[in-house]
Amino acid sequence: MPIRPARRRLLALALWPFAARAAEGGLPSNVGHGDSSKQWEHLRSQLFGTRPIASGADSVMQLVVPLRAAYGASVPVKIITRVPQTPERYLKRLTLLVDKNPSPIAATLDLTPALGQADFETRLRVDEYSHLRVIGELDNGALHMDSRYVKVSGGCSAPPNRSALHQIGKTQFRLPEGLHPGAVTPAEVSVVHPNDTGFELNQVSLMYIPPHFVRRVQVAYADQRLFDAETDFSVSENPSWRFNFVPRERGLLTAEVEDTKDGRFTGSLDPWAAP
Amino acid sequence: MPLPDTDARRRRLLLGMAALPLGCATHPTASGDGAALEVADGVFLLPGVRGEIGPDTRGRIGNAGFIVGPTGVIAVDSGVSHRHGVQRLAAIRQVTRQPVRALVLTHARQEFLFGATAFQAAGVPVVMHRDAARLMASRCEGCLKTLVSLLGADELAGTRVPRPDIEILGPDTADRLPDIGRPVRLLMAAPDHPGVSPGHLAVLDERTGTLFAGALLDAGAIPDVQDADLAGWHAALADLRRRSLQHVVPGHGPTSSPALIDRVARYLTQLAARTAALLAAGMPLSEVADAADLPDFATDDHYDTTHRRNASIVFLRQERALMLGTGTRTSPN
Repeated sequence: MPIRPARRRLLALALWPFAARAAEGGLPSNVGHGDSSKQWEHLRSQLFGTRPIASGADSVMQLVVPLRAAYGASVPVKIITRVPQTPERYLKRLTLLVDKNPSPIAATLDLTPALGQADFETRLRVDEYSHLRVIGELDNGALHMDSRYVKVSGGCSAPPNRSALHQIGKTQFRLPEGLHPGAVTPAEVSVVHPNDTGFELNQVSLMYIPPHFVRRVQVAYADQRLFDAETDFSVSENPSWRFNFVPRERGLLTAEVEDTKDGRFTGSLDPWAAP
Repeated sequence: MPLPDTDARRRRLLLGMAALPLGCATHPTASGDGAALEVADGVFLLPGVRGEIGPDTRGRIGNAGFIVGPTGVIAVDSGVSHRHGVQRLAAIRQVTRQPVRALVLTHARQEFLFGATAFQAAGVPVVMHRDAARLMASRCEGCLKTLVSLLGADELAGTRVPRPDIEILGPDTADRLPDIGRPVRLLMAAPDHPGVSPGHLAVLDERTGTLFAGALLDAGAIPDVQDADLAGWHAALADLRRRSLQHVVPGHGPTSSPALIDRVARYLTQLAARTAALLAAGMPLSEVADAADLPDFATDDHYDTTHRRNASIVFLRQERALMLGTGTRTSPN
């Protein structure tokens, strides 16, 4: 991922004034979904320099997150793109951020028009009350964003499940709504993996469990690339992505997965043969 | 469970009726630092308040209690902060001058354990199962950080993650409670059945049949499955049904009759059935919390929070089981 040097941070500050609306006791209870944060100002200048980013009604991106999220270890995040994905105009990159996580860039997705519709759903770890943001870049370079402030915390979360370690990397597809030949069809790819963050204490030894997580998922249909996801440990255990594809001709859905210990795994599904 | 005889059934009915007004009386204020309520002869409840951990409740949502014997007191669970622990110890002192011989922490959840350091400061040893102590050590610094952001630094002043003085290892060490001149028994799951939470303890006052259930039972409040093995939890509930209980002091909510055991089991069964149906229907996780409504429990405390989280957690576990058990084969390159 290209990290641009921090330039003209002042401009970013001016564009995104941080509304410090602290409630009594200093509790961040009435932070707005569209507000900025210290972390975002920094990330914005690192990732996008001074480029304008459309937001609110001008944005083609929509982020759907439970406001009082259910479970900090696995917060469902739905990304909706308000325009179809066509060769003439398409979303070429998505960046998914959790402002206050130790590693805020949860995922970067490179997309192709073959998706048909660039909607996604995944699950993220959210360590403390934080904004979640998605920034989409169209093929013409225009940037669009949406953000949600999520009140959840992982402080008391149960640890990941580390049983069945021999199945780490098992990669599977599902078609939750069946096959729609010639039309946009939702699919889901998931990988059995603890996605260890490196921040968790072993309950017995009280040593930190070393990080071990899925860092890349590349998904194709009929040998045509759909999307490549570069991911971090902000993605929950057993990483999963809901996405779309358009099954025009017969072919296989395939995934190539790589983790931080150079584990390489694959999974595939013939959607036409699915029950 | 054998059918109760008529007398026992009548006692339960009476107790059920008695539980209602008592239930109202246990939540008179939002302060959570109220006086002790006598549940049975020499057995007392220090009630938590309804609601979530937040400024309005000051986080004081968990029950605690104590048993007064001829030669001492056993306290069960503490409170959400050092300050809360100080106040609860003072509430015990208002009832009895007998020395508090031990504080049992039933499980590693924040509203029950952070008051323990106040008891230790007064010379009271803290008893905890080793597995619960390990869970606490591995995650509760994080809980404390979150608590400070929720309740403010003042409310949490002086609060630390406690370290138990006496660690219980298994059923053969269950008699390690100090003697208070009346029989008090620690109940715990078999080591291979973690049940409701790793190293969970319950405390039974044998003379009155009063059970301090900790996380095993909540009354009028949604039980939390976050640390639970559901099969183990059901096994623990079956074990409770075999005992001759008279009163239950739940982790949250008012003192209840043993009929509460069946209600909690029913919740767990309905929860798992509901999420399994949603998983089979291909529902994405983002819609599960909304779709997993259980009308029988909709008026329970924590329904809008713990129940929604429970649904996500059980759904994710069932999804994982599906991933491990079925689907396409894969092979590493």
